[in-house]
Amino acid sequence: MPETLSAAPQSFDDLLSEAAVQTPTEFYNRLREQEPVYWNPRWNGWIVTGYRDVMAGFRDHERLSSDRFAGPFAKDMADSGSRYRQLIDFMNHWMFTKDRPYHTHLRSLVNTAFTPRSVEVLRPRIQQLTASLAESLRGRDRVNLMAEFAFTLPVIVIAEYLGIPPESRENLRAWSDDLGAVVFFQGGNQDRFETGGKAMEQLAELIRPIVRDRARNPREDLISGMVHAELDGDRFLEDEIISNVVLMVFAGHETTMNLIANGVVAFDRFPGEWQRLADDQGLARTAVEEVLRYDGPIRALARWAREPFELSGRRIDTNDRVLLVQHAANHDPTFFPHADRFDVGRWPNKHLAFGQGIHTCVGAPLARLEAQEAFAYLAREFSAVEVLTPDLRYSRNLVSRSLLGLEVRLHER
Amino acid sequence: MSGPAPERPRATVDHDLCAGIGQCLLEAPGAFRFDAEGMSTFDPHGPWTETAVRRAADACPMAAISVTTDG
Repeated sequence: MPETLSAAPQSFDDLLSEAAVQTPTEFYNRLREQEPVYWNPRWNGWIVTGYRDVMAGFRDHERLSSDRFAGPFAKDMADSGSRYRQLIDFMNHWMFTKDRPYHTHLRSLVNTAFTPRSVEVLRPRIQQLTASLAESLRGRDRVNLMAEFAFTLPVIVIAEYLGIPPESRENLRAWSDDLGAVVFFQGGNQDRFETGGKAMEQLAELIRPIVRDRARNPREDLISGMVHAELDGDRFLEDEIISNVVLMVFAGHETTMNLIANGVVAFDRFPGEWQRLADDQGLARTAVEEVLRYDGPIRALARWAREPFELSGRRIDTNDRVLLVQHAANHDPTFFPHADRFDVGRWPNKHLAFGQGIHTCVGAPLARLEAQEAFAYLAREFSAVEVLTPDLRYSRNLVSRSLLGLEVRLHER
Repeated sequence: MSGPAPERPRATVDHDLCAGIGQCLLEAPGAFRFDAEGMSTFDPHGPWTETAVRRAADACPMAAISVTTDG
C-alpha cells in the first residue's frame, strides 16, 4: 500500500537525510512509486529503485562500469591519490573497483576459496564459536550485540581462515570502520581519506610480514593459498595479495556483522517468525535469504555508464552515474508478493542483496553459512533476542545499512 | 537422432539461484552459456568433458548447478 504523503512534498535529493538513512524502505518505496529511474541533481546521477531495472543494471557490466579509476568517480580518487598514495594504490587492486579483464584476474585469486564446498570445512568451527560466544551472553540484563557477537563471530572466522592472528581483531575492527568511511561514501566525514589512508597503512604493515612468511613457510591457510596461487601461468604481485587480504578482512566481517544485527532487529519485529525458525531448523537457509532481502547489509552500489542506453524509458548518457538501490529492489511489490512482510519460509527469494552478475559478492557462501548457524543456534536456545535500544540509529552513508549500536537481552527458553 | 551418449551426465542450472556470475563459463566454456537474461544454461551437445562440468558445478558460488547421470 502506498503511504500517505505528508503535507510538505518530500525531497528525494538528499540520500543522507534522516528519512533515507533511518527508514529506507519507506523512503525508496515512495521514490519507486513516483519515479523508478530518478535523476538526482544533488548526487548528480540516476537513482534506480525498481527490481527489474536494478537486476538489469547489475547484469550489464559491459555498459555499467564499476571502475573507480576511470569515468566520473575517478576525480575523487585522483584528488585523494596525490595525498594518500598507498590507500589509492591498494584500492586499485580491489576487484569491485575494476572492470574486466583485470577484475577476472583479481577474482581468480580468491573465488575457489569461497565456494559453498570450500567454506563447508568451516562449519564445525562456526558452530563451536557461535555456541561459546552466545554462552557468555546468557542471563545478562543488557548485551552489546554488535561488539560481543555480531562482530566477533565473523571477524574470528575470517581471520583464522586467512591466517591472521585473531588477537589483532579489535584493531581490525577500528581499521575496517575507517576504510568503510571511504568505501561507503560516509556523509559529514571530511577526514575519511586521511583516516582510511592510515588504516590501510596499518593493515598492510600487519599483513605484509605474514604474506612474506607464507611464501617461505606455507600453511593450511588462505594467505598461503593466495601467495602460491598460479592459474594458467598467471601469478599475483605482492601488493595485489596484500590489498585483497585487506579486502577479505574488511568485507569478510563488516557486512556479516550487519547481516546478523539487522536480522535480530527483523525477528524482534516479527516474533512469530522467530518461533517458526525455532520449531523448524530446516528454515535457517530460507530465513537468512529473507533477512538479506528484508534488511540486507548493503543498501545500494554505484556504477557509471560507458555508453548511452535506455532504462525504463529514461535515457542514460555516457559518464552518467547510476545508483542501483538493492534495498529498494528487494521491497518492490511487483516482484515480491507481500514485500513488506518478513517471511522466513519465503521461496523463491531472488533478492539482490549480494548483487548480481560478475561482481556478485564473492563471500556470499561464507556469509550465508555464518548467519545460518548463528540464527539456527540462537532460535534453538533462546525464546527471543529482545531489542532494548529504544531508538535504533544507522550509519549515515549511501552504501551500508549498518546499526551504530544494538543492545539486546537474550531470553531463556 | 543425435543426442548425448547415454553415459554422459546432464547438468541443470537452477535459475532461482543463478546470479549470472559466469564462473561456470570459465570452468567449462563448452558446457555453459548465458541466455538473453544473463542466466547460465547448460548445452548438452557442447564440446565439454565430465570433469569440466563437475568442476563448474563445484565452483558455482550459488550452488545452482546439479549434475546427474541418467540411469
